[in-house]
Amino acid sequence: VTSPLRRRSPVIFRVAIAFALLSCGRQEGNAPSSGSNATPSVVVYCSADKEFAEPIFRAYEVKTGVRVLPLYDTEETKTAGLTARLAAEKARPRADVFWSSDTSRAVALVDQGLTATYVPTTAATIPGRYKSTNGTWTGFGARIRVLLYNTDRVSSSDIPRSILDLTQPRWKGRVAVSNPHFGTMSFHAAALFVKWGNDKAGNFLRRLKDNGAVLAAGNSDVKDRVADGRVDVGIMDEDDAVVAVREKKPVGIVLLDQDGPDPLGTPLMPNVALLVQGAPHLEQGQRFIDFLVSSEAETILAASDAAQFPLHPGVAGPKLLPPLDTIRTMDVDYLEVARRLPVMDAAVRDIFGL
Amino acid sequence: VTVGVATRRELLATLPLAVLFTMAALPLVLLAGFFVAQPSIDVSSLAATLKFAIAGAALSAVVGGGIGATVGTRDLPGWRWAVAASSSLIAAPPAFWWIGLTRLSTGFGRLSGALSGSILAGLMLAPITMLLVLAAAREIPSNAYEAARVSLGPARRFLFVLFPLLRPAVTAGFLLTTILLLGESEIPFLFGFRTSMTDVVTTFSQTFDVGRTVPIILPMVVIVLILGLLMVGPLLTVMLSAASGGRGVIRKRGGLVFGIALLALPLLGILSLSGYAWAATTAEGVRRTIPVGASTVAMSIAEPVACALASVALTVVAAYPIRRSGAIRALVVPGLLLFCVPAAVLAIGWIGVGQFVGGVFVAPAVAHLSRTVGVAALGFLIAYSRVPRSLDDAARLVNMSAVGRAWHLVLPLLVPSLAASAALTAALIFADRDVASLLLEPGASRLMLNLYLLSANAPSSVIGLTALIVFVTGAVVIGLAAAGPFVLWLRRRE
Repeated sequence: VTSPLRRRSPVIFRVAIAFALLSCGRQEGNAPSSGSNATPSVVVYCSADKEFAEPIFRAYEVKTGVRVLPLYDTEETKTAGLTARLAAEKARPRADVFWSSDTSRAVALVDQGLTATYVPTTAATIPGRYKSTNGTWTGFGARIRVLLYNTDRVSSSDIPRSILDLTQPRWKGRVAVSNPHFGTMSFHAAALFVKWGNDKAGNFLRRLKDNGAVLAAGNSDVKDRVADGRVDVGIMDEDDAVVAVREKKPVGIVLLDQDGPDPLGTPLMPNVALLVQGAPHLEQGQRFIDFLVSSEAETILAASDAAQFPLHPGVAGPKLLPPLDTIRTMDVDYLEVARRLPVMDAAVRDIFGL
Repeated sequence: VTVGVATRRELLATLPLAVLFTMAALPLVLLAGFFVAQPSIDVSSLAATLKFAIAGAALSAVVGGGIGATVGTRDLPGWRWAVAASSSLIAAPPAFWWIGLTRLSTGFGRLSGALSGSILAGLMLAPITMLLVLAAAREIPSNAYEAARVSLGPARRFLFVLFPLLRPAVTAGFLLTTILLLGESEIPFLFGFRTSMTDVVTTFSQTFDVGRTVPIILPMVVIVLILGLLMVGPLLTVMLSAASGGRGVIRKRGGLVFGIALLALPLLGILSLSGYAWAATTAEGVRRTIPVGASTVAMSIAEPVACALASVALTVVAAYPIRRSGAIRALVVPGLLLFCVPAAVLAIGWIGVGQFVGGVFVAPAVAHLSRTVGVAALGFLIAYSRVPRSLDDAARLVNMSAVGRAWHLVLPLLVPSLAASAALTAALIFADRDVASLLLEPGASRLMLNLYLLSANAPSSVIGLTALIVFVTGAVVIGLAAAGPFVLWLRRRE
C-alpha cells in the first residue's frame, strides 16, 4: 500500500534539489535583474537602521512598483562594513545606491572613486553645505549627537554640559561611548580631530580612556547601558536616545556644548545618498535617490522613531527634539572630516588598542 | 591479488566522503594559503578569548554535568520534559536568550564584562554537556553501578564510580563548549569585551580583505582544531554505543533538591521568553505591528530545512559505501573538525574563495553545508553503529539491487539518528547570524539576522514580537528537518 506521503515524497526531494541548484554560486555584479520581463528593482546598501529604513523602502515600492533590495550591516560594524564591501566590489559593483547613516564614511568614498555623479532633481532646496556641488553625494534627514543620562543616577544639577566634562574625575567609570572605528561615533571623533587638531583630539580620547570610559558595541548598546543604569551617561545619536525616551526609560536627553562665548556645538550628521560608480541599475538608482532625498522621505523619517531633522525647508521636524535652527551644530566640512578618518582610526588603535 | 583488489575497492569507496570533506575544507585551505604567502599572526586578544571560553565551558561542564548525572541516576517526575526544555536552549545562540533576559525589569541588563559573559554563555550551553552525560549514563553497566550503590556512600560512589564512568562525556562537553565559545562574537559584543572573534568580525568589516583577517583567524583556528582533535576520542566513546549487556543506571527516586536543580535551565529559557513576551505585549509608547514578512519566514524555514536534508543526504550517499569499513571512523574526524571551525571564519573563507576564482558570489547554503556535513557524518556513524551487523548481512540475502537494498532495508533502520542529526543541523543553520550577515544577497533576509538588526533600535514591542516569531519558527524548522528522514521509514520493506 502506498501512503499519500509516500507518493508525494519525490516532490519533496525535487524541491530540495531545485533549492540546492538555486543556491549555487553566480557571478558577482549580476544583481537581480531589472530587465523588461522581471519586476524592476534597485539594490540599496543601507547602513541606516533597518527599523527606520524599511518604511522608506515600502513607500517607494508602493509609489513606483520598483522592488527595493536592501543590504544592511550590523550594529557593531556600522557603515564601515558596507563601505569596505563597496570598495571590495569596485570592479564588479552589486549596489546601485548607498544610503549611509554616517556622513563621513560615505563622503570618504568620493576620494576612492566609488561614487558616480548625479544631482537629484528633488534636492534643489537642500542647503549647499549638506551636498556636493557636482552630485557625488547628497545629504538628507540629519541627526545630531546627544548625551543621554540616567535620571535615577544623575541629578539635573550634575548633568555634563560639554563633551570635555566627561574627562573629569567625577565621571570616572560612568561614561559609555561606542567604538570610534564604526558608525556615527567615528564621524564624531573625526570631527573633533578637525575642530581641535590631532594633538588635542587625541589627548581628549586618551583622557576619556584613562577616565574609564566604556566602549560599547554600538550606539544602541550605549543607550541600553544608560537606560539600565550600567553607566550613568552616554553619547549617542538622537534617534537612539528618542527610542529610550519613548519607551519611558529613566533617561533624559542633553545637547552638549551649546553654551558659552564660542561653543563647540554638537555634530550634525545628514544621511547620505550616493550613486555607486558602475551601478548595475543606473536609472533605477537615480530614481530611488530622487525619492530618498525628497521632502516626502524626510517627512517619513522625521515622523517615525528615527526622529531625524529634515534638511528641506518647511518640513516639520521630530516632535521630541527642539527645532534644528535653535541648536548650535558643530561647523565642520564633511569632506575634511572624511579625510581625517584614517588619522582618527590610527589614534583610536593606539589609545584603545582596538 | 584479491587483497589488493579489495583494498583498492575500499580506497575507492572512501573517495566520495573524502571529496566531500575536501570541498568543504576549501575555505580553510585558502586561509592557510594566505598565511603561507604572508606569515604573520596576531594573538593580542587570544589570552582574553581563552579565559572567556574556558571559564564559560568549565561552568557549563559543572552545571550540565551535574544535571545530566542527576537525571541519569534519579527518577524525577517530568524529567523528560525538563530535559527537552533544557535542550531547547542550545537551539538558539546564547545572545538570543540574553536579549530576552534583558527585556525583563530584573536588573539582568546591568551585567557586563567578560566574567558575566562567560557565566551567561556557559549556562546557556550547559545542555550540551547535560545531553552527553545523559547519553553516557545510559551506557553504564547496570550491575556495576548497582554494586557500587550497595557498597559505597553517595560521595565515594560519585567520586570513584560515577564520575570516572562519565568522564568522557564531561570532557567532550567541556571541549565542545570551549570550541563554541571561542567562535562566539555576539556575547562579547553585548557584554562589551574583546575577543579574537570580535577582532575577526571588526577587522574584516573594516577592510573586507580576507588576507588582513588571517593573522587573527589562524591562531584561533589552530587552537580550535587541537581542541577538536582532543574532543574526538571522548565524543566517539560516548556516542558510539557499547556492545552488549545490561546498560543504564536503575534510577532511584530523587528528592526535592534534585527536582529544583532540574528546573534551573528551563527556568532561564522561560524567563527569557517571558522577557520577549512582556516586551511584545506591554511595552509602552510604541506601535505594534507584525515586524517580519512572509517571505522572510518562508526562507528562514526553507533554507535550514533544505540544507539540513541536503547535508544528511550528501553524507549518507558518500558514507554508505564505507559503512562497514573502519575508514568511516577515521573520515568522520576531519568532518567533526570542520564543524568546530566558527561559522564566521568559514564564511570569510568562502568569500575569499569567491574572490580567488574571479568574483563568484557564494551562497550562504554553501557555507552552511561546508560546516554541517561533519555533523551529518557523525550522525550516520552513530546510526549505523546501532544497527546489528547481522541485519545488514541478512539484507544482502534479499534479491534486489544494492541501491534498492539501501533504500528499502538498511537506511530505514537509521532513521532516528538521521532525524536527530537533521534536526541539529537545521537548528544550527537557523540560529546562524554570522553567515547570513556576510553572505546574504541584497534583498534577502533571515529571521535571526533580522532580530539582531532590529535589536539595534526597534521598539521593545517589535523586538519581543520578532523574537517570539523566531522561537516558533525555530520549532517548526526543527520539526520539519527531523521529519525529513522519515520519508525513508515510509519506504521501508519489512
